[in-house]
Amino acid sequence: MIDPRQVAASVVGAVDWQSEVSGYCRCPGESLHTHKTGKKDCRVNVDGAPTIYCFHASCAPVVAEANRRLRQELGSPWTLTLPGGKVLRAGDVLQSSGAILPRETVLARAKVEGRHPGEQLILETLVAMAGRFKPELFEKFHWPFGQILSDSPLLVADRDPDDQFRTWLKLWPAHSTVWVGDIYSTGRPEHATHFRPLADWYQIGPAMGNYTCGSAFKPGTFSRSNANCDGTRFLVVESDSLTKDEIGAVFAYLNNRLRYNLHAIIDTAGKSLHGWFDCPRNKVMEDRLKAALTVFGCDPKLFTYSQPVRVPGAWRDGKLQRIVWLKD
Amino acid sequence: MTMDIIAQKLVVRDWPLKEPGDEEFFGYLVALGVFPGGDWEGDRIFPYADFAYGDSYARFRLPYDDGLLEQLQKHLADNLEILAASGSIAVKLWIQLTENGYKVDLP
Repeated sequence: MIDPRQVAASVVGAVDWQSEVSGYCRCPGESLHTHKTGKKDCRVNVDGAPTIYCFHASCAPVVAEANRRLRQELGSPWTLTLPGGKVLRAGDVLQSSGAILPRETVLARAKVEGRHPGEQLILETLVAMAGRFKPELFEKFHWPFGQILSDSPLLVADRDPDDQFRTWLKLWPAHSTVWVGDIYSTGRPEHATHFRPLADWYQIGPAMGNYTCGSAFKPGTFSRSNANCDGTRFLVVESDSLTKDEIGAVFAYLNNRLRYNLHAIIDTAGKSLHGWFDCPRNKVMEDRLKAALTVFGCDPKLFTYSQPVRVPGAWRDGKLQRIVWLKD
Repeated sequence: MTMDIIAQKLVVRDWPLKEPGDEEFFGYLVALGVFPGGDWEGDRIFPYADFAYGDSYARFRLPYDDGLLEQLQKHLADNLEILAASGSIAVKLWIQLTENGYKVDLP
């Protein structure tokens, strides 16, 4: 029976194992890195769908080829006896709790979710991996609130409420119908007044409520439901557990490493920041992102595209909800 | 219809906010109620609130505080109204215990 860790080492070289199944290694595409390489930038994982993952983006083609080799070499059955006597098999996932997620459970979940078994395995592996590299992510992509403010390509944080609101309106395509209101301003015909074309909002200003949505709506609607979204949408990333100094790492990781286009960061005038990103380009990518962001401490409900979020330019308990970072 | 959540053992957690200045994020408010127990009086019957967030579901034993109960009832009513109107809920709550009572706020 093969030892998966020896196989991994044959692909990536020496591995500094941090657990029975995961360790730091030299990135196979290190020569392509365009930024300084750290010792903890690349990890190899042998459980679930065996994966090499590097925090750098420039090495992606070489890492993809190394992953193909790793998965091919680990394609035959293997077992690994863990401390305590539990046995991990090829295709099982070692979870952060120490429990083993058996491959049969992965298959059963795939059936329930109507998902390809291979994609389900990738998702389950991604959750485990995200837990493993979370500390490094927050260290490497650290982007505290003060730095976000000073890094903004456009100086927006000190603009007045009307200017904040109108600046935010410019994120949207010109034809969009956008909802602005309070969270319960939905569902009855009289709420149609909260769903307006951008041109109307330019005239009205930030006076109709504290919330908006990351999605535009079909003209004439009065209900803020997913069915009434018109397909124009942003992914608004937020967390209820991460502080303003912590969530920036998630924004930076999405923007710099995963190449999700960051448009703006909004200070909710409360405890959190909201990052407005382009949406994942398909359901597979969306499911993967949702799995990872949940592990990082984000609200999985942010993928409900009709979910209300704070709109810039409105006042909240004497504090202004405002854009603090805006793309040029 | 069977639901996984019913099959789980639901631990009723003690109310975590003890002193002015204590605060906590609880999640989406999904239920308020009275937990029946004992002879329908005394310490084993109490008000509770249920919160959901991600894959977690938690029940908290609430203190007898009119202001807190009133605010939670309003937010639950909002969630029910939004659910009927939009097919989802939106009210998730931070609760802070202040010198002047409970402050319940959306993030």
